[in-house]
Amino acid sequence: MSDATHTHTSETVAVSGHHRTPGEERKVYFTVAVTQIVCAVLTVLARYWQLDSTALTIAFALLLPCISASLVACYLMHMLERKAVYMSMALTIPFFIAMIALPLWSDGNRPKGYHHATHYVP
Amino acid sequence: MEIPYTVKPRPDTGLYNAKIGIWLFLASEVMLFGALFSAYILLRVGAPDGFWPDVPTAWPHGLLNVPLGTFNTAVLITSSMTVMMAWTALKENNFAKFRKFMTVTLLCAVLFLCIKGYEYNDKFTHYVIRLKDGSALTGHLEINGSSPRFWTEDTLAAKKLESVEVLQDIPTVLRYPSGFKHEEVAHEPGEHHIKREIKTADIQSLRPFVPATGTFFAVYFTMTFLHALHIIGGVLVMGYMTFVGGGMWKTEPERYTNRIESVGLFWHFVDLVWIFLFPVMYLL
Repeated sequence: MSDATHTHTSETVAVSGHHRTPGEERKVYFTVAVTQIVCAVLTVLARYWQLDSTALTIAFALLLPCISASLVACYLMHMLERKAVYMSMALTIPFFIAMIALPLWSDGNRPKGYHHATHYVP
Repeated sequence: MEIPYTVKPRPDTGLYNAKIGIWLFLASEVMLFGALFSAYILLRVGAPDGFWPDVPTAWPHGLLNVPLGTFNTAVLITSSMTVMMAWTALKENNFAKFRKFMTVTLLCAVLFLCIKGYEYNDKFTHYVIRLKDGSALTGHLEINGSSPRFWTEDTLAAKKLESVEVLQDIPTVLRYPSGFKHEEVAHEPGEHHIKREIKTADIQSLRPFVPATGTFFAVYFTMTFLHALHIIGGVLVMGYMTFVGGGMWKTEPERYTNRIESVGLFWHFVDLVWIFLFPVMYLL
Protein backbone atom coordinates (compact mmCIF):
# COMPACT_ATOMS: atom_id res chain seq x y z
CA MET A 1 0.00 0.00 0.00
CA SER A 2 1.17 3.55 -0.51
CA ASP A 3 2.36 6.02 2.08
CA ALA A 4 0.22 8.56 3.81
CA THR A 5 0.07 11.21 1.17
CA HIS A 6 -3.18 9.95 -0.27
CA THR A 7 -4.89 11.93 -2.91
CA HIS A 8 -8.57 11.15 -2.72
CA THR A 9 -9.31 11.35 -6.39
CA SER A 10 -11.17 8.84 -8.47
CA GLU A 11 -8.50 8.92 -11.14
CA THR A 12 -5.25 7.72 -9.64
CA VAL A 13 -3.90 5.92 -6.59
CA ALA A 14 -0.30 6.47 -5.52
CA VAL A 15 1.24 3.03 -5.14
CA SER A 16 4.88 1.98 -5.18
CA GLY A 17 5.93 5.28 -6.62
CA HIS A 18 3.61 4.79 -9.60
CA HIS A 19 0.20 6.25 -10.26
CA ARG A 20 -2.36 3.75 -11.38
CA THR A 21 -6.08 4.08 -11.76
CA PRO A 22 -8.12 2.16 -9.18
CA GLY A 23 -9.20 -0.15 -11.99
CA GLU A 24 -5.58 -0.93 -12.80
CA GLU A 25 -4.85 -1.48 -9.11
CA ARG A 26 -7.71 -3.95 -8.80
CA LYS A 27 -6.42 -5.78 -11.88
CA VAL A 28 -3.00 -6.15 -10.22
CA TYR A 29 -4.54 -7.48 -6.99
CA PHE A 30 -6.74 -9.91 -8.90
CA THR A 31 -3.79 -11.19 -10.95
CA VAL A 32 -1.71 -11.68 -7.79
CA ALA A 33 -4.54 -13.60 -6.12
CA VAL A 34 -5.06 -15.87 -9.13
CA THR A 35 -1.31 -16.52 -9.38
CA GLN A 36 -1.20 -17.38 -5.68
CA ILE A 37 -4.05 -19.86 -6.02
CA VAL A 38 -2.35 -21.44 -9.04
CA CYS A 39 0.87 -21.72 -6.98
CA ALA A 40 -1.06 -23.41 -4.15
CA VAL A 41 -2.63 -25.93 -6.53
CA LEU A 42 0.75 -26.63 -8.18
CA THR A 43 2.27 -27.18 -4.74
CA VAL A 44 -0.39 -29.80 -4.04
CA LEU A 45 0.16 -31.43 -7.44
CA ALA A 46 3.92 -31.50 -6.84
CA ARG A 47 3.22 -33.95 -4.06
CA TYR A 48 2.04 -36.48 -6.64
CA TRP A 49 4.87 -35.98 -9.10
CA GLN A 50 7.26 -38.11 -7.10
CA LEU A 51 10.55 -36.57 -8.21
CA ASP A 52 13.57 -38.85 -7.79
CA SER A 53 15.17 -36.72 -5.12
CA THR A 54 13.44 -36.13 -1.80
CA ALA A 55 15.40 -32.91 -1.33
CA LEU A 56 14.33 -31.70 -4.79
CA THR A 57 10.71 -32.49 -4.08
CA ILE A 58 10.79 -30.60 -0.78
CA ALA A 59 12.66 -27.71 -2.40
CA PHE A 60 10.08 -27.54 -5.18
CA ALA A 61 7.23 -27.74 -2.68
CA LEU A 62 8.68 -24.72 -0.85
CA LEU A 63 9.75 -22.81 -3.97
CA LEU A 64 6.17 -22.16 -5.07
CA PRO A 65 5.08 -20.77 -1.67
CA CYS A 66 8.20 -18.54 -1.79
CA ILE A 67 7.06 -17.16 -5.17
CA SER A 68 3.56 -16.66 -3.79
CA ALA A 69 4.88 -14.91 -0.68
CA SER A 70 7.11 -12.66 -2.79
CA LEU A 71 4.09 -11.54 -4.80
CA VAL A 72 2.25 -10.64 -1.60
CA ALA A 73 5.23 -8.73 -0.23
CA CYS A 74 5.96 -6.88 -3.47
CA TYR A 75 2.47 -6.08 -4.77
CA LEU A 76 0.07 -6.23 -1.82
CA MET A 77 2.41 -4.98 0.91
CA HIS A 78 4.21 -2.69 -1.55
CA MET A 79 7.68 -3.53 -0.38
CA LEU A 80 9.02 -2.56 -3.80
CA GLU A 81 8.97 1.01 -2.52
CA ARG A 82 12.49 2.15 -1.74
CA LYS A 83 12.14 3.07 1.91
CA ALA A 84 14.83 2.64 4.52
CA VAL A 85 12.42 0.88 6.85
CA TYR A 86 11.80 -1.84 4.27
CA MET A 87 15.52 -2.30 3.83
CA SER A 88 15.78 -2.85 7.58
CA MET A 89 12.96 -5.38 7.33
CA ALA A 90 15.16 -7.26 4.91
CA LEU A 91 17.32 -8.12 7.94
CA THR A 92 14.65 -10.62 8.91
CA ILE A 93 15.53 -12.66 5.81
CA PRO A 94 19.07 -13.67 6.95
CA PHE A 95 17.65 -14.12 10.44
CA PHE A 96 15.00 -16.48 9.11
CA ILE A 97 17.50 -18.35 6.92
CA ALA A 98 19.83 -18.76 9.90
CA MET A 99 16.99 -20.11 12.01
CA ILE A 100 16.17 -22.66 9.34
CA ALA A 101 19.81 -23.51 8.61
CA LEU A 102 20.92 -24.03 12.21
CA PRO A 103 18.72 -27.05 12.96
CA LEU A 104 19.55 -28.56 9.56
CA TRP A 105 23.24 -28.03 10.23
CA SER A 106 23.02 -29.55 13.68
CA ASP A 107 21.03 -32.48 12.30
CA GLY A 108 23.67 -33.15 9.65
CA ASN A 109 26.46 -32.93 12.21
CA ARG A 110 25.61 -35.99 14.29
CA PRO A 111 28.31 -38.17 15.80
CA LYS A 112 29.15 -41.24 13.75
CA GLY A 113 26.87 -44.13 14.53
CA TYR A 114 24.25 -41.95 16.19
CA HIS A 115 20.65 -43.12 15.81
CA HIS A 116 17.48 -41.46 16.90
CA ALA A 117 15.75 -43.15 19.80
CA THR A 118 12.49 -44.83 18.93
CA HIS A 119 11.54 -45.40 22.55
CA TYR A 120 7.89 -44.67 23.15
CA VAL A 121 6.01 -44.31 26.40
CA PRO A 122 2.27 -44.46 25.78
CA MET B 1 -1.89 18.12 21.86
CA GLU B 2 -2.13 16.67 18.40
CA ILE B 3 -0.37 13.39 17.71
CA PRO B 4 2.11 14.01 14.90
CA TYR B 5 2.50 12.00 11.72
CA THR B 6 -0.81 10.16 11.82
CA VAL B 7 -1.46 11.22 8.24
CA LYS B 8 1.63 12.87 6.85
CA PRO B 9 4.81 10.81 6.58
CA ARG B 10 7.74 11.48 8.87
CA PRO B 11 10.55 13.17 6.95
CA ASP B 12 13.18 10.71 8.20
CA THR B 13 11.37 7.40 7.56
CA GLY B 14 9.05 8.49 4.80
CA LEU B 15 6.16 6.70 6.52
CA TYR B 16 3.43 7.73 8.94
CA ASN B 17 3.78 6.49 12.49
CA ALA B 18 1.15 3.75 12.43
CA LYS B 19 2.82 2.18 9.43
CA ILE B 20 6.20 2.18 11.18
CA GLY B 21 4.48 0.60 14.17
CA ILE B 22 2.79 -2.15 12.19
CA TRP B 23 6.04 -2.97 10.37
CA LEU B 24 7.90 -3.27 13.67
CA PHE B 25 5.13 -5.51 14.94
CA LEU B 26 5.34 -7.63 11.80
CA ALA B 27 9.11 -7.90 12.23
CA SER B 28 8.56 -9.34 15.71
CA GLU B 29 5.96 -11.69 14.27
CA VAL B 30 8.45 -12.93 11.67
CA MET B 31 10.76 -13.83 14.54
CA LEU B 32 7.96 -15.56 16.45
CA PHE B 33 6.82 -17.69 13.55
CA GLY B 34 10.42 -18.10 12.35
CA ALA B 35 11.30 -19.68 15.69
CA LEU B 36 8.31 -22.02 15.43
CA PHE B 37 9.18 -23.02 11.86
CA SER B 38 12.75 -23.60 13.00
CA ALA B 39 11.49 -25.85 15.81
CA TYR B 40 9.32 -27.68 13.29
CA ILE B 41 12.28 -28.35 11.02
CA LEU B 42 14.40 -29.57 13.92
CA LEU B 43 11.69 -32.00 14.99
CA ARG B 44 10.81 -33.03 11.43
CA VAL B 45 14.32 -33.91 10.31
CA GLY B 46 15.02 -35.49 13.69
CA ALA B 47 12.10 -37.90 13.44
CA PRO B 48 13.23 -41.46 12.72
CA ASP B 49 12.34 -43.18 9.45
CA GLY B 50 9.38 -45.48 9.56
CA PHE B 51 5.68 -45.67 9.15
CA TRP B 52 3.54 -43.99 11.80
CA PRO B 53 1.84 -45.33 13.90
CA ASP B 54 3.81 -48.60 13.56
CA VAL B 55 6.92 -46.63 14.54
CA PRO B 56 5.50 -44.36 17.27
CA THR B 57 8.13 -41.63 16.95
CA ALA B 58 8.05 -41.51 13.13
CA TRP B 59 6.53 -38.49 11.45
CA PRO B 60 2.87 -39.07 10.46
CA HIS B 61 1.75 -38.28 6.91
CA GLY B 62 -1.56 -38.06 5.18
CA LEU B 63 -3.55 -37.30 8.34
CA LEU B 64 -4.70 -33.86 7.24
CA ASN B 65 -7.36 -33.12 4.66
CA VAL B 66 -5.42 -31.71 1.69
CA PRO B 67 -8.42 -30.66 -0.50
CA LEU B 68 -9.91 -28.82 2.47
CA GLY B 69 -6.55 -27.20 3.25
CA THR B 70 -6.17 -26.14 -0.40
CA PHE B 71 -9.65 -24.63 -0.37
CA ASN B 72 -8.85 -22.79 2.86
CA THR B 73 -5.69 -21.42 1.24
CA ALA B 74 -7.78 -20.07 -1.64
CA VAL B 75 -10.21 -18.52 0.85
CA LEU B 76 -7.42 -16.69 2.66
CA ILE B 77 -5.81 -15.53 -0.60
CA THR B 78 -9.19 -14.18 -1.72
CA SER B 79 -9.57 -12.28 1.56
CA SER B 80 -6.11 -10.79 1.09
CA MET B 81 -7.21 -9.54 -2.32
CA THR B 82 -10.53 -8.12 -1.13
CA VAL B 83 -8.91 -6.15 1.71
CA MET B 84 -6.82 -4.42 -0.93
CA MET B 85 -9.92 -3.83 -3.05
CA ALA B 86 -11.53 -2.25 0.03
CA TRP B 87 -8.55 0.03 0.56
CA THR B 88 -8.64 1.04 -3.11
CA ALA B 89 -12.35 1.85 -2.71
CA LEU B 90 -11.46 4.24 0.13
CA LYS B 91 -8.94 5.91 -2.16
CA GLU B 92 -11.82 6.42 -4.58
CA ASN B 93 -13.89 8.00 -1.79
CA ASN B 94 -16.38 5.16 -2.09
CA PHE B 95 -17.19 4.08 1.47
CA ALA B 96 -20.12 1.85 0.44
CA LYS B 97 -17.87 -0.15 -1.86
CA PHE B 98 -15.23 -0.30 0.88
CA ARG B 99 -17.79 -1.82 3.25
CA LYS B 100 -18.82 -4.41 0.69
CA PHE B 101 -15.25 -5.56 0.14
CA MET B 102 -14.51 -5.58 3.88
CA THR B 103 -17.64 -7.65 4.46
CA VAL B 104 -16.40 -10.18 1.90
CA THR B 105 -13.01 -10.17 3.67
CA LEU B 106 -14.65 -10.82 7.02
CA LEU B 107 -16.83 -13.58 5.58
CA CYS B 108 -13.73 -15.24 4.10
CA ALA B 109 -11.98 -15.02 7.48
CA VAL B 110 -14.96 -16.55 9.28
CA LEU B 111 -15.21 -19.28 6.63
CA PHE B 112 -11.52 -20.03 7.13
CA LEU B 113 -12.06 -20.37 10.89
CA CYS B 114 -15.12 -22.59 10.40
CA ILE B 115 -13.20 -24.94 8.11
CA LYS B 116 -10.30 -25.01 10.58
CA GLY B 117 -12.76 -25.77 13.38
CA TYR B 118 -14.21 -28.62 11.32
CA GLU B 119 -10.70 -30.00 10.80
CA TYR B 120 -9.91 -29.71 14.51
CA ASN B 121 -13.12 -31.51 15.39
CA ASP B 122 -12.19 -34.31 13.00
CA LYS B 123 -8.86 -34.68 14.80
CA PHE B 124 -10.51 -34.78 18.21
CA THR B 125 -12.69 -37.70 17.06
CA HIS B 126 -9.76 -39.48 15.36
CA TYR B 127 -7.74 -41.97 17.40
CA VAL B 128 -4.55 -43.93 17.39
CA ILE B 129 -5.18 -47.31 18.98
CA ARG B 130 -2.29 -49.46 20.19
CA LEU B 131 -3.13 -53.09 20.80
CA LYS B 132 -1.53 -55.42 23.29
CA ASP B 133 -0.12 -57.57 20.45
CA GLY B 134 2.14 -54.62 19.54
CA SER B 135 0.22 -53.50 16.45
CA ALA B 136 -1.28 -50.05 16.00
CA LEU B 137 -4.04 -48.55 13.90
CA THR B 138 -5.83 -45.25 13.40
CA GLY B 139 -9.52 -44.54 12.92
CA HIS B 140 -12.73 -43.10 14.32
CA LEU B 141 -14.67 -44.75 17.13
CA GLU B 142 -18.35 -45.43 16.53
CA ILE B 143 -20.36 -45.45 19.72
CA ASN B 144 -24.13 -45.53 19.30
CA GLY B 145 -23.86 -43.93 15.88
CA SER B 146 -21.70 -41.01 16.97
CA SER B 147 -17.98 -40.32 17.13
CA PRO B 148 -16.91 -39.41 20.67
CA ARG B 149 -14.19 -36.83 21.34
CA PHE B 150 -11.16 -37.03 23.63
CA TRP B 151 -11.63 -40.63 24.80
CA THR B 152 -8.77 -42.62 26.27
CA GLU B 153 -8.43 -46.21 27.52
CA ASP B 154 -9.54 -44.86 30.92
CA THR B 155 -12.83 -43.70 29.36
CA LEU B 156 -13.38 -47.19 27.97
CA ALA B 157 -12.74 -48.68 31.42
CA ALA B 158 -15.01 -46.14 33.14
CA LYS B 159 -17.84 -46.88 30.70
CA LYS B 160 -17.26 -50.63 31.13
CA LEU B 161 -17.42 -51.25 27.39
CA GLU B 162 -16.48 -54.78 26.38
CA SER B 163 -15.74 -53.82 22.79
CA VAL B 164 -15.75 -50.80 20.50
CA GLU B 165 -16.50 -50.38 16.82
CA VAL B 166 -13.72 -48.68 14.90
CA LEU B 167 -13.76 -47.21 11.40
CA GLN B 168 -10.16 -48.08 10.69
CA ASP B 169 -8.27 -45.89 8.21
CA ILE B 170 -6.87 -47.52 5.11
CA PRO B 171 -3.56 -45.80 4.40
CA THR B 172 -4.19 -45.43 0.68
CA VAL B 173 -3.97 -41.70 0.32
CA LEU B 174 -0.34 -40.72 0.15
CA ARG B 175 1.43 -41.75 3.28
CA TYR B 176 5.17 -41.51 3.20
CA PRO B 177 6.84 -44.32 5.09
CA SER B 178 10.25 -43.02 4.11
CA GLY B 179 11.19 -39.54 3.06
CA PHE B 180 8.87 -38.06 0.48
CA LYS B 181 7.76 -41.23 -1.30
CA HIS B 182 4.33 -42.71 -1.02
CA GLU B 183 3.19 -46.24 -1.43
CA GLU B 184 -0.19 -47.60 -2.36
CA VAL B 185 -1.79 -50.16 -0.10
CA ALA B 186 -4.15 -52.67 -1.65
CA HIS B 187 -7.76 -51.71 -1.22
CA GLU B 188 -11.14 -51.90 -2.89
CA PRO B 189 -11.92 -48.94 -5.18
CA GLY B 190 -13.53 -46.13 -3.21
CA GLU B 191 -12.88 -47.81 0.11
CA HIS B 192 -11.30 -45.58 2.75
CA HIS B 193 -12.27 -47.29 6.00
CA ILE B 194 -12.79 -50.79 7.34
CA LYS B 195 -15.32 -51.27 10.09
CA ARG B 196 -14.06 -53.63 12.76
CA GLU B 197 -14.83 -54.48 16.33
CA ILE B 198 -12.03 -54.45 18.88
CA LYS B 199 -12.29 -55.93 22.34
CA THR B 200 -11.50 -53.42 25.06
CA ALA B 201 -9.31 -55.98 26.77
CA ASP B 202 -7.04 -56.03 23.69
CA ILE B 203 -6.45 -52.26 23.74
CA GLN B 204 -3.28 -51.07 25.41
CA SER B 205 -3.81 -47.38 24.74
CA LEU B 206 -6.35 -45.14 23.04
CA ARG B 207 -5.34 -41.59 22.18
CA PRO B 208 -7.22 -38.90 20.27
CA PHE B 209 -5.28 -36.71 17.84
CA VAL B 210 -4.44 -33.98 20.36
CA PRO B 211 -1.12 -32.20 21.06
CA ALA B 212 -0.16 -34.69 23.79
CA THR B 213 -0.41 -37.61 21.37
CA GLY B 214 2.80 -36.88 19.49
CA THR B 215 5.29 -34.33 18.26
CA PHE B 216 3.52 -33.83 14.95
CA PHE B 217 0.23 -33.05 16.66
CA ALA B 218 1.91 -30.73 19.16
CA VAL B 219 3.54 -28.77 16.32
CA TYR B 220 0.40 -28.84 14.15
CA PHE B 221 -1.93 -27.56 16.84
CA THR B 222 0.51 -24.98 18.20
CA MET B 223 1.24 -23.41 14.83
CA THR B 224 -2.23 -23.58 13.33
CA PHE B 225 -3.92 -22.40 16.54
CA LEU B 226 -1.51 -19.48 16.86
CA HIS B 227 -2.31 -18.63 13.25
CA ALA B 228 -6.04 -18.94 13.97
CA LEU B 229 -5.62 -16.53 16.90
CA HIS B 230 -4.15 -14.03 14.46
CA ILE B 231 -7.16 -14.54 12.18
CA ILE B 232 -9.51 -13.93 15.14
CA GLY B 233 -7.57 -10.77 16.05
CA GLY B 234 -7.78 -9.59 12.45
CA VAL B 235 -11.53 -10.26 12.30
CA LEU B 236 -12.11 -8.27 15.49
CA VAL B 237 -10.08 -5.29 14.31
CA MET B 238 -11.45 -5.30 10.76
CA GLY B 239 -15.02 -5.76 12.04
CA TYR B 240 -14.58 -2.85 14.43
CA MET B 241 -13.01 -0.61 11.79
CA THR B 242 -15.71 -1.41 9.25
CA PHE B 243 -18.89 -1.31 11.30
CA VAL B 244 -18.17 0.55 14.56
CA GLY B 245 -15.23 2.82 13.91
CA GLY B 246 -16.36 3.87 10.46
CA GLY B 247 -17.36 7.30 11.78
CA MET B 248 -13.75 8.42 11.45
CA TRP B 249 -14.17 8.27 7.68
CA LYS B 250 -16.39 11.36 7.90
CA THR B 251 -14.09 13.35 10.17
CA GLU B 252 -10.58 12.18 9.22
CA PRO B 253 -10.76 10.23 5.96
CA GLU B 254 -7.02 10.11 5.34
CA ARG B 255 -6.26 8.87 8.83
CA TYR B 256 -9.01 6.27 8.48
CA THR B 257 -7.58 5.12 5.15
CA ASN B 258 -4.17 4.77 6.77
CA ARG B 259 -5.66 2.65 9.55
CA ILE B 260 -7.22 0.34 6.99
CA GLU B 261 -3.85 0.17 5.25
CA SER B 262 -2.20 -0.92 8.52
CA VAL B 263 -4.87 -3.55 9.11
CA GLY B 264 -4.35 -4.72 5.54
CA LEU B 265 -0.62 -5.14 6.12
CA PHE B 266 -1.33 -7.32 9.13
CA TRP B 267 -3.82 -9.34 7.10
CA HIS B 268 -1.28 -9.94 4.32
CA PHE B 269 1.15 -11.20 6.93
CA VAL B 270 -1.47 -13.66 8.19
CA ASP B 271 -1.90 -14.78 4.58
CA LEU B 272 1.89 -15.14 4.20
CA VAL B 273 2.19 -17.35 7.27
CA TRP B 274 -0.53 -19.66 5.99
CA ILE B 275 1.13 -19.86 2.55
CA PHE B 276 4.05 -21.58 4.28
CA LEU B 277 2.08 -23.42 6.97
CA PHE B 278 -0.07 -25.20 4.40
CA PRO B 279 2.65 -27.08 2.47
CA VAL B 280 4.73 -27.66 5.60
CA MET B 281 1.89 -29.20 7.61
CA TYR B 282 -0.30 -30.77 4.95
CA LEU B 283 2.11 -31.83 2.24
CA LEU B 284 5.63 -32.50 3.52
